[in-house]
Amino acid sequence: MSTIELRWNDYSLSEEQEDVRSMLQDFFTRNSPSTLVREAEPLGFDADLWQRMDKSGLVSLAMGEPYGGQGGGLVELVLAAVEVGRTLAPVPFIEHTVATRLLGSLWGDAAEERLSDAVTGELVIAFAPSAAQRGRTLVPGGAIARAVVALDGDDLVLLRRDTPPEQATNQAHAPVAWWDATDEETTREVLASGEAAHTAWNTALAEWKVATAASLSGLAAGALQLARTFATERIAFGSPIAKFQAVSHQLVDIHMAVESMRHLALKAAWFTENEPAARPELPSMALAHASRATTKAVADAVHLHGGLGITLEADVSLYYQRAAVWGQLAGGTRADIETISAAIDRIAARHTPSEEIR
Amino acid sequence: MNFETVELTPEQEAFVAEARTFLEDNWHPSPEMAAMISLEHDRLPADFAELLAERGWIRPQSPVEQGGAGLGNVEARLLTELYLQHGVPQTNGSDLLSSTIEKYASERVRSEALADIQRGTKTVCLGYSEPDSGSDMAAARIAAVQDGDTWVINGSKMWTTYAHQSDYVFLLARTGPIEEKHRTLTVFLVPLDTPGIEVQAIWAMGDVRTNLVFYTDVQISDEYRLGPVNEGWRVVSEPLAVEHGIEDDLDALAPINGSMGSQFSHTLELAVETAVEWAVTTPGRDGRPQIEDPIVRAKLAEALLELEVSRNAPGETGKVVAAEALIRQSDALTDLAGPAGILDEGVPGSSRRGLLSWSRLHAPGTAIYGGTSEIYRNNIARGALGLPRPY
Repeated sequence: MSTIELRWNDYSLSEEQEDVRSMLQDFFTRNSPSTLVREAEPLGFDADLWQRMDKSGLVSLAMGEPYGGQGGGLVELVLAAVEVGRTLAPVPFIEHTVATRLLGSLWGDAAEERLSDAVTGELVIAFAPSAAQRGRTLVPGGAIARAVVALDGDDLVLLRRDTPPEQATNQAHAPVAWWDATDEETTREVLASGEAAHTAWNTALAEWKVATAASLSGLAAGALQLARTFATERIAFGSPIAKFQAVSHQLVDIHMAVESMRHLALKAAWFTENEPAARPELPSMALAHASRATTKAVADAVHLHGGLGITLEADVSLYYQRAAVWGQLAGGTRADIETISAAIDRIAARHTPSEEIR
Repeated sequence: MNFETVELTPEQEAFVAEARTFLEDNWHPSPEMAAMISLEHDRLPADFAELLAERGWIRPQSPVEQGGAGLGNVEARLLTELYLQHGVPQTNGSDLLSSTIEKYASERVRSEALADIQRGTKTVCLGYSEPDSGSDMAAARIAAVQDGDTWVINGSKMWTTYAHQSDYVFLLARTGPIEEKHRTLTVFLVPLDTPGIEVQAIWAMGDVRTNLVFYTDVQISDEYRLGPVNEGWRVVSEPLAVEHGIEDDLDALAPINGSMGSQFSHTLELAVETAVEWAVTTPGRDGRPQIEDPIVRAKLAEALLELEVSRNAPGETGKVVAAEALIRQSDALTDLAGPAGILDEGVPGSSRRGLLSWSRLHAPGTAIYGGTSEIYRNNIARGALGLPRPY
């Protein structure tokens, strides 16, 4: 008879975390309106917003205290990522936080000095969620960063340049760029090699996936808010279109997706921070679900606006354009499904192959 | 937030050992019941129910004076896990109804039935839907006409699952002009052995038995009325809220997708495990096990992903998401396993216990019973999104 393993299943935030959440919601609602999002195009970076985040202690919210951060963990990273996504804030918050946390854990006593300009956001360090191929990797935040943490073969490397490379223009107006370790303007410092390199990179990648999933849940929630408002105000056939079930049920489907994305991201954050070996597939599950559900959600949100939704004037089109890109930078759900399939082997280990099998 | 493993105290370890021994010694299900995959569709045999009730283990978290064992969250969850491991149905405890019944019970119901309903040795089934009304529950037509201290009931109720195995039916009846819809409904707790009640079996896909119940000149005392005359809609709304998973004091161990959602997720988990077992034990094209085929792995991973998603959909969304996940993935896993997925139990080449085939047949009902997905979407639209009432 198998033993019973019970786990707590408590998604509730502490009072302190609730305060952080509402502070973040307030900050990004006030500081990242859609006008600012548009003005930041085509690069997708607002330096002034980034500085205001620093003044409010948000750039270093989820960085460790030993090197000058606010000491928040993955839950705080998730809470902030949700609001960044909800308001489409044009800042490299996730990649910069993930890269700095990784360097902070590697550099120990030297971290405080070496990361002083990263903690303030003056130096943007990005994280490359795809392993480099022949030295090249596509980096979120790479078009505004002067440093990038990447996996290059069996080396974990810190790449540096005096000026960021040119943006790889994309449908999200995201500051994505190709970084090339072999480029002569780029310096390459090896941070770790072999197993240590892969372990450190995998941890950071899990954090990046969880935060990106959370951000996508926020993005879907932002699009839902626009579609909900539109559907309650738009009159057709003599009534708000929200009274038609064909409309209201689509809104509910987006809401259900937002809820499951947000809860899964929180759960994945907890496991990644506390027991990464217990459920190593959770960050990939959170990201795969968020990528798919968010692209579906924004498509529905655009559709609910009718023809207005596809115009560049409509804020919902900003959400549509940004929804697909974030989930793709680590290889898309194809890569996530491959990671998740490793979890199948845990179940498979309980069964014995039959004799027919060679 | 906390997902840590629960560290059991020595007392809790002893409780598990005691409960396990008790089940091993006393739970001897009939071959039919042992073969059932879903544990949602049968009541406990009466003698075993009595043994459990003596320990307060049917509604274990209720206080002892209300028929429970006053167990804490952890002990109650351990007991639930043991029941699942041993295949013990958990359908006797009317948590849904017992507080409502207690609130409105007359002296007679109190002395005749309440204690046994609370301890789970007498059971109550739901008389809501009718042949001509389902989701539109307040369109019920079954008539209860007052004659002095007696009510005379005529009409029929559909989908009265467990009617053939229950002692009472929690009946929503019409006690005034039907035009007044919500304002002329009254609830009764009707003893099912009252003359004039005829229970007719209806078999649904996936070995599910439910019932059509006819009421012909059924006479019951006014003492079986629950709540004021014509305020039945308010009386049924309380247990409905619980059934729909919108009670908000979740304990920190409970699945967030509600009692029905978590049952559906559990069924999907069994289907995924069965499909993995099929993939380990079935040779593919070159004689290597199917589980080494990247396409098979991808499809199993998709099912595992959707299972996890269903467990992360909270409250009312959980029932809808879990039901739709079960329907989609039962089809997908049936397709993945090729012919194994459609063969019945015991046929050479079928999946273990014929589970994949059963799961596909069982799945569509989950989006209907306990409230259709459309009704849930209407509720979520109004509750969570504040949208206007639909046409």
